[in-house]
Amino acid sequence: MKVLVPSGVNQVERMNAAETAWLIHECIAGNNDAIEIFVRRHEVDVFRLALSIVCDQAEADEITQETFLSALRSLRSYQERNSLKAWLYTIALNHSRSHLRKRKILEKLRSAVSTVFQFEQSQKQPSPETAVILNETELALWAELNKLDEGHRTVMILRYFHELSVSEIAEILSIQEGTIHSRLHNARKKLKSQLEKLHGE
Amino acid sequence: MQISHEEAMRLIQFHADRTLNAEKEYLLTEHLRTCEQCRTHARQLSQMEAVLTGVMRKQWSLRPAPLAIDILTEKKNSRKVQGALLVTRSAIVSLAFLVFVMIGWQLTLTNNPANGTLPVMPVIPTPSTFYTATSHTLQDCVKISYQVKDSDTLASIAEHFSISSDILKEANHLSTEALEPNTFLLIPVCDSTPTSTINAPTSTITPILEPITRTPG
Repeated sequence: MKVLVPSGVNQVERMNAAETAWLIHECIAGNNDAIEIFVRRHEVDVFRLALSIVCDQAEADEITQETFLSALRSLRSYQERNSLKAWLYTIALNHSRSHLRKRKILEKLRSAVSTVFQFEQSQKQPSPETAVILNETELALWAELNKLDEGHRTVMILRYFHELSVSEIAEILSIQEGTIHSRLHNARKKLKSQLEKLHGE
Repeated sequence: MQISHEEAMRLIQFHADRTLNAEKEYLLTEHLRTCEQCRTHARQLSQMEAVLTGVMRKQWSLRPAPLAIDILTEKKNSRKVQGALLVTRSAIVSLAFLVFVMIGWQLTLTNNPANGTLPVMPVIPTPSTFYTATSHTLQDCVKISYQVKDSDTLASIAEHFSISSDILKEANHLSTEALEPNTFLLIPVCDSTPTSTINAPTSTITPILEPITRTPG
């Protein structure tokens, strides 16, 4: 007897899609349990994205909360043709960027005030997690990564830390895939040459 | 089928982006087997990728403090809170700005006299330093003409216009004290002409006075 076995992957995918649709529906209806499932499922991803952009744990927590607030508010406008994760990442990225902008303004204000009052100027380091021990190579790469401009840095983070595909990154940032390719290429070239310089010495 | 060196370099980049199809992947592998340089390049690239991923994981693989769901659901239902928050925030910001401006103002008030650079401070002229201390030149002064009466002397005219008789003499190129009635004298009148500059050294004044010419009298 022949048993028709449906392709396992497809079935899981279809189930996931149906489950996500149900979850979103329940969240819109205001079911607290559904909201809790939704938040628990994605909060680590969102938090890590925020953390990798702003490099500050407290700020990342804040951004995570803001992201879920605006996501739950605008869940109705979410279209299922996009992936839910990419949609959440887009929101989180926008919040992170606005935090970065705010921080830049604050920094400027602080420097202006300190020139007037002759305060001691304290520069905030890009990486607050000094407890993490890095070796020389890692330290060099980390410094080089933080030297990249925001566009290149974000793309590298999404690609290598969040392990998203190029098409997903393009969707999240709403940039052409070709641009993503060239940014990745340039950033990789810079980091690689840095590594070679280190090994050459 | 063989691919060129440049093509292989390009494919390595796409390989790193995980966007190569099986056919290209195969071509690349074939090329790497024969080309030492490309192999090194690919190895270094993947080394860098491994280190980078490791660093990122070390730095950012933290778990967030779990979000309180009730905060999310409460805030979702009450958007007015946000409006109130905005008003409070803008009030605080404007207050802070006001304080900032006030402090800055106070600082300029207290700092400038100490530096001695305040240009509008009234300078009380002393006879010997008047012309050197201020930026006035006689050219800046208004010149008026005055008809000499019978009873006038050089000193009385000078006193009348609160200038030194020496200046008056110089300004009209007079060599003697004697005045002829009904002739015209040119009298330089400055804003802050000192009340008495009789002792003013003529040596500092003479070069300034040169452009003044006598009016046909």
